[in-house]
Amino acid sequence: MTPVLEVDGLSIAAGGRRVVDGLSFRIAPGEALALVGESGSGKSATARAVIGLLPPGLAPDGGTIRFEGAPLKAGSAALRKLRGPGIGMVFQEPMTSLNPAHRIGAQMEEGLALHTRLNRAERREACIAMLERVGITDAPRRLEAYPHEFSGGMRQRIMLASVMLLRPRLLIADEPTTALDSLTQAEVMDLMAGLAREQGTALLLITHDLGLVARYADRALVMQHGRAVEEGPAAPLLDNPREAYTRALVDALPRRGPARKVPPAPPLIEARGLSVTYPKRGALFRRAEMFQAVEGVSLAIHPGEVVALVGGSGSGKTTLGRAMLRLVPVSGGQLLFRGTDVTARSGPALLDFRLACQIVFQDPYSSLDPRMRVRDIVAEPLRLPGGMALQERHRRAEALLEEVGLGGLGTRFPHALSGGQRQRVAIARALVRDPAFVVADEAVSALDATVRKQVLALLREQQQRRGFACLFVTHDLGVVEEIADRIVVMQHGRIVEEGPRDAVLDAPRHDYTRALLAAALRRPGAAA
Amino acid sequence: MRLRPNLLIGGTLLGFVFIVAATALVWTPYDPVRTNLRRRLVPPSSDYWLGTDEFGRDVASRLMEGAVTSLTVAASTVCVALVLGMAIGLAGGFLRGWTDRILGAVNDTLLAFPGILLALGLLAVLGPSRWGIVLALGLAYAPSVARVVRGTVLSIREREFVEASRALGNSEFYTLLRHVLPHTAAPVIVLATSLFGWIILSESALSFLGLGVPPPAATWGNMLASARPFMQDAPLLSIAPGVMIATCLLGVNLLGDALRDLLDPRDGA
Repeated sequence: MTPVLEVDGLSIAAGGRRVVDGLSFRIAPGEALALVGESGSGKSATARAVIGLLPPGLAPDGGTIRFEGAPLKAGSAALRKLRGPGIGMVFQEPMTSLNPAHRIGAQMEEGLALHTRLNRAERREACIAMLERVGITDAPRRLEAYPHEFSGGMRQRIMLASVMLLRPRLLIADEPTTALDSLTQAEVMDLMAGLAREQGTALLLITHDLGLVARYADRALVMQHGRAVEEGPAAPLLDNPREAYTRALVDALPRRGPARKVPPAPPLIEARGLSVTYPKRGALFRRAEMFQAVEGVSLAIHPGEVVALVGGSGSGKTTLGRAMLRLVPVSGGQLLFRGTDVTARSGPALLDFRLACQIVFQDPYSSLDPRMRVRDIVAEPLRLPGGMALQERHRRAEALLEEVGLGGLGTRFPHALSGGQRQRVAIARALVRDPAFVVADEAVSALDATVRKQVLALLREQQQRRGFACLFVTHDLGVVEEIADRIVVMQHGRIVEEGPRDAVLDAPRHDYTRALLAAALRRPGAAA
Repeated sequence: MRLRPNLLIGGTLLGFVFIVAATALVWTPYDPVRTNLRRRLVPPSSDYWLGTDEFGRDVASRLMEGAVTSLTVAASTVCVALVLGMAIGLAGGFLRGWTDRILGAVNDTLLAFPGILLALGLLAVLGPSRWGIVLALGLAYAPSVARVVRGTVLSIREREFVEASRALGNSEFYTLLRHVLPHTAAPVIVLATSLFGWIILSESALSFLGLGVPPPAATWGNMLASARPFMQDAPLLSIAPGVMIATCLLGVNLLGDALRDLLDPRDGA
């Protein structure tokens, strides 16, 4: 049987450097192959070379790509005809891969109009059927909607629907769910795998996440520095990796640490019936409707304890985390810090509380001021307690940078660091004042699996050394396994389940917890 | 750091204009305001490098004198517009709420007038004088600065590093100065350089209407205006100030671009 895709000795050059070097693989009809690797391993470049859409600066540098036996040439009319009905592609960023200026119906129809002889009514019907297939309710009306009216997960389904409408023989999915929370990720991936099976579409899945590979790929090809490291059927390869690099990737999957005993003590920070409401968008001179993000939540965190706050997008977990730091206005309830009420404090009275609490944000690209040097960013918190000379502040910042593994990088600007390095800077900034309480808001969600592992290890090590209490906000139960003492699950602004880590993970009582657990990508073979 | 052609060319052009102006402060070939009706509209010669105008005044001297006036007026006006506009824009964008609505409404009302019309009205009240022009044009152009600053502030204040600064316990004012203000530099510099150009032109338009820097003082604008009837017979009368205006604007724009690049750490490091 002719393979759908046959890549032979593919090389891609960026300037003088080869980002892909002599890569060969093939995909049989209907087969799912995962290209696995970290950022910069050349996996995305490979995918783009197949469809002839290499970004400027990258150029093919030898090798052949055959689609159903016929060689593909970048820029040829034949390749253009194949894009769509032959090869479909789903991109990573659902927020930007749909054109915000057009209704989704028009965007879905585009491909059909170009590649099929269907008339207008037939195209519309096909779109409606496909939207319904991907689980978008009220499809005929939704065709008239614009992309911004949908959530990230729904946009990714729409993207998938518009690609699968043309029944491509090969679907390339480039990190299709990296930007989504774990429940949505599982839904979209299940849908993608299901559609591919129905239509007999072969799948080339580009991912950094071995959890996805275990669940959705038949075969896996592990890449590092543009070369194939190991290739084989997915399950055995993950259970029993031959190469050291593959083993490192497998090891980067979350693993449960030993349960710790937190010595009993009065709570460090406690929310009592805390509520947060946001005004929905209102018009001028009209009272805006209120949206209840957090509804009367009570949560106590003890000194030195790591509490994981878990929930899907929109569960209110991030808002609760920020409310506990008084970063968003609280609309009801009380917040107690070391037994005293800080709910209504402001100005200088709040400073004590601010000095003792810190936050690490999700996105290290936007949480660091791009106009400041790393050393100044880390030293900035030391300005406030007062009485510390600039040199002393810099010295402390440098020492902490050394401690988080960034020695000698203090004079760089954030843009000259990788995502993992930036997150280390953000952690250093949070810790430099030796806080008693740290909120880590999805602090590792934007990172590659191996980098995530390292950053988690750093966070845990620092936590053990300094003994701060930590509220770890995340959508991914897998990450929680590594670090949490206690797990709190939130849905629709309320806490639905709460308990010691092992109890929640091994014997979840609430349906929502069970769903989160099923969606979490965990070590293959680990008890679910 | 690699050599930037726009820095080099812009610096040279603007440097030339500044040297001309600086020289004029201590020396000009003739008194720029002394008339000599027997020597009207003389073509260029070794005595009169650029000839004389309709009142027999030396064009080269007036051009040099004009450089001083035009540069001071334009630079002061840009400063007035920037200070006013940035204050309004920062306050509106950062405080939002009613402050922003009121400032925004006033700002948009001013923006609805053409700048020159607004300046005309103000000058009618203030009377034509050098500092009247600075104030009038500064007020006229401040709303566009405010607009740009407000937009940038609105987008920057949503970034997490601003929230991070709050979480550190920094005051709102400190956060505004340290983390928000520097990010408005790039768009403001670009705007300031083009404002510089508009202001030189606006000043010449006002001079043309008799509301500019009062004669006999020379500015490039009023030289250009008064040269209009003689465009056929003495083209150099209008070409000379025109070339100076163009040189100055090109220099300011190129230098502004270079400055913006230099100030951005993403390029500089």
